[in-house]
Amino acid sequence: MLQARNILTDHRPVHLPQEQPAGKASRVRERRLLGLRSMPFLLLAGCFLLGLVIIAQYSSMVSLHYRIARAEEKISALQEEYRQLEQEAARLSSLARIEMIARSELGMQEPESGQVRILTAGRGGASAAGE
Amino acid sequence: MLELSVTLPAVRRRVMVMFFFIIMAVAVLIGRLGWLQIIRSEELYEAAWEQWNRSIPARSPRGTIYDREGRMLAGSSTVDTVVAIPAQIEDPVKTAKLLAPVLEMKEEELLEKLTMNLSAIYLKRKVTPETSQAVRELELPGIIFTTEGQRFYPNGTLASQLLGFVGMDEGLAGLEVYYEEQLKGKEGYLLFPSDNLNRPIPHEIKRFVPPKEGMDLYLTIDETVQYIVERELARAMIEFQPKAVMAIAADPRTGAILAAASKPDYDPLHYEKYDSKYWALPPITSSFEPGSTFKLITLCAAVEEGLYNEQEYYFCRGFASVGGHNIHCWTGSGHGSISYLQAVESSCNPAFINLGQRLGEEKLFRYIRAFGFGKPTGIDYPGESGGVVFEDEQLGPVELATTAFGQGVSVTPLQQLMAVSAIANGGKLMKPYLVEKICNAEGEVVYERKPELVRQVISRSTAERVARIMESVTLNGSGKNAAIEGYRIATKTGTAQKPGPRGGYIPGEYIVSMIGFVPVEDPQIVLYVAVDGASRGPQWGSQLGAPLFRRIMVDVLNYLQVPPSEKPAAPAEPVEVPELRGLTVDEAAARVDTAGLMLRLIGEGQYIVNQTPKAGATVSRQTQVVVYLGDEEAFSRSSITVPDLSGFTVKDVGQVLNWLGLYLEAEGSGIALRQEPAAGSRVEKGNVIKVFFGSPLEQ
Repeated sequence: MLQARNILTDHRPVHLPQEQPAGKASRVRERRLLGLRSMPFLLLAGCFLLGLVIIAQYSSMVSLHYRIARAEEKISALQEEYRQLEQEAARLSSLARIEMIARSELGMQEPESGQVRILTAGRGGASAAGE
Repeated sequence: MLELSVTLPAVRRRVMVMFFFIIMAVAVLIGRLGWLQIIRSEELYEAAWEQWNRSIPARSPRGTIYDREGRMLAGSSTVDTVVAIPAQIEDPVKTAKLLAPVLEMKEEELLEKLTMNLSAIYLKRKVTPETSQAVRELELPGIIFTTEGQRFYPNGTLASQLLGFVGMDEGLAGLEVYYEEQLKGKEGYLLFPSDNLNRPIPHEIKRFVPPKEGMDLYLTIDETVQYIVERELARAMIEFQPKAVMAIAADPRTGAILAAASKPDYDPLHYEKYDSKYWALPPITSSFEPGSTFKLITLCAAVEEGLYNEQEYYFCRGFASVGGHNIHCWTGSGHGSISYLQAVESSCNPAFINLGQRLGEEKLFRYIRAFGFGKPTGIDYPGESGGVVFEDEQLGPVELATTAFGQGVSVTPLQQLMAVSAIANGGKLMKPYLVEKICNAEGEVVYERKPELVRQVISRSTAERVARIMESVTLNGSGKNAAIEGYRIATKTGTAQKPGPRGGYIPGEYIVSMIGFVPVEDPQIVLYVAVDGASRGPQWGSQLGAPLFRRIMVDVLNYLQVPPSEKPAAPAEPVEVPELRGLTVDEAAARVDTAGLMLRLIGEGQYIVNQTPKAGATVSRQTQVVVYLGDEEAFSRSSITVPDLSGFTVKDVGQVLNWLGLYLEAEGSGIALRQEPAAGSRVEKGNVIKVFFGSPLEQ
């Protein structure tokens, strides 16, 4: 038990095998060991970065959402303005209004019977008809 | 002592295994997070919104209704509706007190609404922009706004019976109700976050989901044709003072309806102020006895069956004896010996009874049903009437005889219009329609209507022959007053008696009509007009229906730029005005009708005491002869009863007032709409009568 604790709490520096000119296998082993040791840090860093990316994207989505909402509101307002203008144009161009202006403001009136004559051009020419 | 020996590689393996499981757990958590945040994000977000938020519906603007040229007939805009969220209102009494004068509501009523145990409640719907602004300025907690669609009809009453109207939330009449599904659109929402007691969550944002606009309808109706029709109907209402007038026009080649209207009508924005009988469109929803216009069906059947010969002669004694009954001709005294062509021109009832008898019950009613009578045409308009024709078991010789000249059956103007369209287009019965296409809010066409052939009812040669016979009615018969110089026109008049509530007919009450198409060689427009129960003027098709038909047709032909016929009939020779003084209205009407003139009545009395133009004057056909009804001393008295001048032109009014020794002060142009003093007032000679002239639609 004590021995085990000693082993677990052994803070003596671990003496890595001395590099030997012909120890290619041991170099590979060393690199793997280094890789294994750094893996948790890499994973943590990766998770952290991933989290940052997700948060950034979420933030961007929220920001876009607000922009879309504002754009939708603007579209809605513009559509409403278009509708109002379309109705105003329809009201102003209503035939009853035009006839009323023609009569009351411009003093126009229908021709009396006999005031309009029908002229017919020669064959192949234009014809005009009226009351 | 147990000695535990763990080597460094073993420790590393265990650490690796632990890491693996931890990484796996983290990966699973990240995966789950991704699943929730990315894959199911929308669904969960919506579910969460529903839990956190309260919503108030925002209704969409209805789709727009356009005419065939894309001109707006009905549009929508959004207006504010005032909403209260009772849980958010801090001081309901004060709120009610402040809102009551702005919303023009009673304080008690408001207080009741403000204290209701509801998440939200409408206080006042569809308020004006001014009211909305006034409420906003109060900045009351718990008072918010949502939007709703407000219908708008830029042309006022134009085509009101056709378009229908909209109640608070949905279409209630006309095309507005028929196409409700397409027009209504999709609701939006005003969302606001709240707790379970509907209290607002501080610093949270209200969200508005805008409603989706309804689809747009493009009608077959032409706004200008509709306007011309309605203007002339309004004029007929003033001139003839009938109970009602109606007209319907179509393109005979396709069945597309160009205009349909009747007067009196209503304002769709204030529909509740009018009697509901004015909401319907009689040319489609009403059926009545057609009178002589129905003779065209008998004529088609007889021509198609080889039983009609224009040159053959018939002797009209003024009545025909059928099944022990004497059925009278409209002339009373009879037409005497006339050809079958003249029988059509003068609309002889006994001659048509004879044609009906030649055809027999089976054949005549086969043609009547083939022309579409007795059942609705299937037009896209609510409440279409199918009319009534005799069933086989009801048929007897009297029923056969009366049906042959248009009595005893009940048909709609639309059915007659489609039947005459078949005569115009070579025998094809078309299905009438009002909506040409439907577009979604993005402007994409989602439905497009194509002309639909119901059946070929008569051969092309029969149709052409009947069209020529109808043309001769315009040239030589009762349709003279509908003739338009330069065009070949096919017409037929009708005068139908009105059935009474206890059976039989109402004495002196008629529905006078005219139907026809132009130009005969290439028909482009078919028109039906009817005047119901005229109280001024002779109730003859030639005197009421024909001028109305002509006025509409002249402007429509000009507007549609229909070229004149290449071989029109020669212009009618001028005619001499007959002497009318001392005659009754009916006697005078017969004289002017024979001459191809029109009679206009003014004043009250049994006999004609003056006329303009004077007897013996040479005038062109269709000239209006204005006659004054009264007694001989009418012009010599010092005190005069002011006559009803409405509907007359400045020239006619001036002439009549001159007869009476009164002076005219005219204002505006057009026809007389109002006058001061009113008709029936007693004035001294030499007084001034002020008359306001204008467009008939101004009244």
